[in-house]
Amino acid sequence: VYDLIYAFALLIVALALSWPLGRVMAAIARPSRDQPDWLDRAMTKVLGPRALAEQTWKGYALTLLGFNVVMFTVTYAILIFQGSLPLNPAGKPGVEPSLAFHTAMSFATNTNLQHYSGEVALSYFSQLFGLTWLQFVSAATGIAALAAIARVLGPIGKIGNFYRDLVRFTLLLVLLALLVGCVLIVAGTPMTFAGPVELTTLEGGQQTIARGPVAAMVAIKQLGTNGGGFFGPNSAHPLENPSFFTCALENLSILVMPMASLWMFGRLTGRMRDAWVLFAVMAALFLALVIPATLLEAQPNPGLADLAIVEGRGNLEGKELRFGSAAGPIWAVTTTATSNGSVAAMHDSLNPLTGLMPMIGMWLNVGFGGVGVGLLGMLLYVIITVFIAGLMVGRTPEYFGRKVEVREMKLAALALLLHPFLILGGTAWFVATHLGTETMSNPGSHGFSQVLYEMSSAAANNGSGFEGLADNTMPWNLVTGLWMFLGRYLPIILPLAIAASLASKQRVPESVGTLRTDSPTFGVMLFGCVVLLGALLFLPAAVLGPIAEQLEMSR
Amino acid sequence: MQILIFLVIGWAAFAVCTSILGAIDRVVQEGNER
Repeated sequence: VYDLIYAFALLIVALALSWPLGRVMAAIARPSRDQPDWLDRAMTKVLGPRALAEQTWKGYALTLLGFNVVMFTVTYAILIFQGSLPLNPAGKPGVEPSLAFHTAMSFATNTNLQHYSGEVALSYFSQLFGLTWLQFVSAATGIAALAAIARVLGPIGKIGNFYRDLVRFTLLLVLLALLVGCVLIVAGTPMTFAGPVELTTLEGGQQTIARGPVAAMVAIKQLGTNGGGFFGPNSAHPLENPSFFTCALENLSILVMPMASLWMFGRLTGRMRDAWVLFAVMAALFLALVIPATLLEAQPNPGLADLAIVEGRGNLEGKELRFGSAAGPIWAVTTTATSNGSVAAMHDSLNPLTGLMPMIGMWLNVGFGGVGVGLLGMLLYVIITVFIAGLMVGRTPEYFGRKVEVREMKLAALALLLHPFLILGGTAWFVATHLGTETMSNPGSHGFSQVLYEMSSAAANNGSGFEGLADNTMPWNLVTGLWMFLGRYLPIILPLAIAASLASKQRVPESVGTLRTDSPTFGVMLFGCVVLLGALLFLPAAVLGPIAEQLEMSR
Repeated sequence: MQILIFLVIGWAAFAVCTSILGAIDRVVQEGNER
């Protein structure tokens, strides 16, 4: 019961913090009214008078892609040449090319899937100026795309300018990360450029303890729903996440920005009631995963039931007991429902059905979702729901007072179908060939789950892993690298196109026949639509993986 | 050599995405003209 209270408390505190933050984000995203503000003036001075010009949707998307090419290229180069770059006290050599490709793609796409251990493979320069930099700008990219859509659909009626959004949201993230980072430092997370510590343990053995500029990376990895940690074990590592207090703070930081994105959307579009309905649906999806995960993980692992050990606290394998036994499953759902991907427990060790919950979080990817992009995904579901509801009542579907027609539906269906295609297609390919079977650490259904989880994590831009998988191989690096790419940019570009297409149409006056998207009825339909589509697409894969494993263990 | 191959793969992915963007734009434009 206390565990569930903790989960509810996280949700409520995150809601309370996200509300004022959403107000700030909306103010940031709004065009300057009469006079350009100090930031606009500074940007015009530095970049020239045309830098902040209004863009078309295509121009906005091209600039976004162009900036991301630069992000990818710079980080790839930093990783390859880190051996010759400064801030490398441990003398780490350059990263192997396929791993550098994967890592640069992973951080540019806000995924942060890591096929390496940071403390072993990367220099401080790579961690800070390659990866942490991307954690700021990739998160800002996601919020920017959402802000553009909200502006064009709402009363502002314009897409805006990508560079303006990018700079403003990056600055906001820097301020927030500074705040969270300082608290983490006080709570015991290291922030130093000194090299690893060599010490003699009480038993007389020698131990090397890695450290570095950890707090900076941990703060933004949570706030930006990035998830990529400084150390291999991520937030299960005692220097990334020293205590229950930091665990709660980090878990909270994961939830705040995706929620605030909702309120920004509501304010920019002038439709706060719509935002509340979307919040209710997202919160319901989140709770529908957190509650079962907490309850299922409170059961001991059936495979250990006959051993003479006390299992009264549930399944303790792979848990960090300084957080309490339920922090693992609650974090597992929070991190996957929001597209974060940091971990505070070994997901590979979760009970099979508990392990299914984070997978569902990634399959749906809208239980708040990533910063900005989570709501973009939900808007695709809204378009589909509006269309289905329109068919049911026999009227032309409308959203934001504009008719939803064939081309919007085609684009929305394309964006939604891409996700299962990448996950299921990739899983089928890897479990049917040696590419996957040789890298699994378990045979049978658990091995299948490992591959399924990895593909889901890449396509959903999540970044967590079941971790039993030996995934630092050329095929895994290449395929998941491309999957992250496709799972990131098409679901940003397609909603931008849909919003631009809708905005170019005449407004249809509201009548009694209009299906309101700000009513509880619509919320229930939307919830049903998300769950049904998710179940239709992914249930067979779930049966082959975690469900089969649970049945095998319970025999 | 491998360094260049993976760099080009990354760039190629962005190039393909840009051409998809062009195709999507044409769909939107045609819809508007109609």
